[in-house]
Amino acid sequence: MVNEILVRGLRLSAAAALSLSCAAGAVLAQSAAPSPAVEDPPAVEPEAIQAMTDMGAKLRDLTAFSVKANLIWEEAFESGEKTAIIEQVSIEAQKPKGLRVERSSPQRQRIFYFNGEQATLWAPEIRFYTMVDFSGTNAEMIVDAAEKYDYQVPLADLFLWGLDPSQFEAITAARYVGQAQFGDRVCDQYAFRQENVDWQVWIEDSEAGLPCGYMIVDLTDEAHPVFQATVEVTPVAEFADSRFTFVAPEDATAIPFETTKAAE
Amino acid sequence: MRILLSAIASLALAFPATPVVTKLAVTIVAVAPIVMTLAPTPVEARGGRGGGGRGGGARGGGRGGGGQVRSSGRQNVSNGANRNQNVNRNNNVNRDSNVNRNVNRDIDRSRHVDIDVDHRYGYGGGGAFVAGVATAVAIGAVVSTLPPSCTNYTYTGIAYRNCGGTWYQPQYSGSNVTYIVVDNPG
Repeated sequence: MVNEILVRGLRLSAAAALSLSCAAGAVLAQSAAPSPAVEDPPAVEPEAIQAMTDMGAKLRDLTAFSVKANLIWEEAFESGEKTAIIEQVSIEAQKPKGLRVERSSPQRQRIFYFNGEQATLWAPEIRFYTMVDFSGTNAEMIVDAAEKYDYQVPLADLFLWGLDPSQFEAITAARYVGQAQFGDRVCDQYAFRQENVDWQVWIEDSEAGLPCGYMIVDLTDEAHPVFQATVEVTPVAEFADSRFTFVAPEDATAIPFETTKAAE
Repeated sequence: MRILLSAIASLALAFPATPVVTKLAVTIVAVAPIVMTLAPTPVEARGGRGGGGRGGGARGGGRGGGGQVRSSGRQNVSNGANRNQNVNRNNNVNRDSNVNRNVNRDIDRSRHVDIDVDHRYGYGGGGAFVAGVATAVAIGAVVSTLPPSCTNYTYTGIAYRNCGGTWYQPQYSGSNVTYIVVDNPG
């Protein structure tokens, strides 16, 4: 009888020991397990940054190129409503200094000229122009015009992406999204986030690797107005210098850029 | 000179800008380097970008609704312009004719290293002008459209508009044409 009790007790303790060891084993197994089977991709995928760097470099490699672009961008009203504005942009650009940008809609036309020495903004319908001296490359002028005169050359990003590699340091998230079709072009879509702005770029899946379009979402306004450009970049052999120089018609009126910014 | 100018001004009032007169585009050169041109003030059907709702202009009639534009969004991610603006805008909308805007601009010049184009518009009350009614407008105020019946002047090579006794100088604010109220250049 005593033996029987003893044996039963031993069996019980063995069972307890077994279950304990199983539990411990499970804990051990858990702690020793490698990270989950599918790893989270890094917030900033290096391939996405590289794609932007490469695309910027390919644009800058072109001796001369034209761009046809359709823009759709939004204005946010006090009510929170947004309406879209549609414009066309036509660019002729030549290295290192030669730029002509026409931006137009039925409401407004502007032509911007830069010949390496002077930049002119011309409104052909209302006959006002302003001309300022600039020396430097197209990219230097684009940066200067924004800083000194608060004038944004349309589609400035095409000239600046990747020029200063540190600009991508502001990116907090970057990833490859997938492919999309722009007419006949198959383009790779990349999405980026940085403070106050989300943006996406589509780059043609071809050797040329030129941009198909891009989109910017402004997060500083709660309505998140969107700017979207569909672009077609065409390499060109050369443009005549006269394309980049403004000759004032007789009935044109010269006016200044708002001076407060320049006076700083 | 003043007499000559006021005579010219009376002439302008006597002959409002009708198509017949404006086609002639009469230019009178005075003794002093002031040139008055009886030419129509060019009108642009403005988009609201950086300046008010759409309306007025060639199409006529406002396309109000939604109030004023508070943001035109950002149009580049790379460029270094960083403009924080507080624009106090006083508006009276006359739905039968034009949309008139009186912009008092306070420009916050604080700069940041990062890139941001930030147009902020606040709206104050009072001080607006109504179509056809001349009201004293502060020197330095910036408007995006002129009241009707302005006369073009050129003084020492600089373009001005005189609208009911108030002098405006056209300028580019970014890619927008705006008009800053100035002292009588004469």
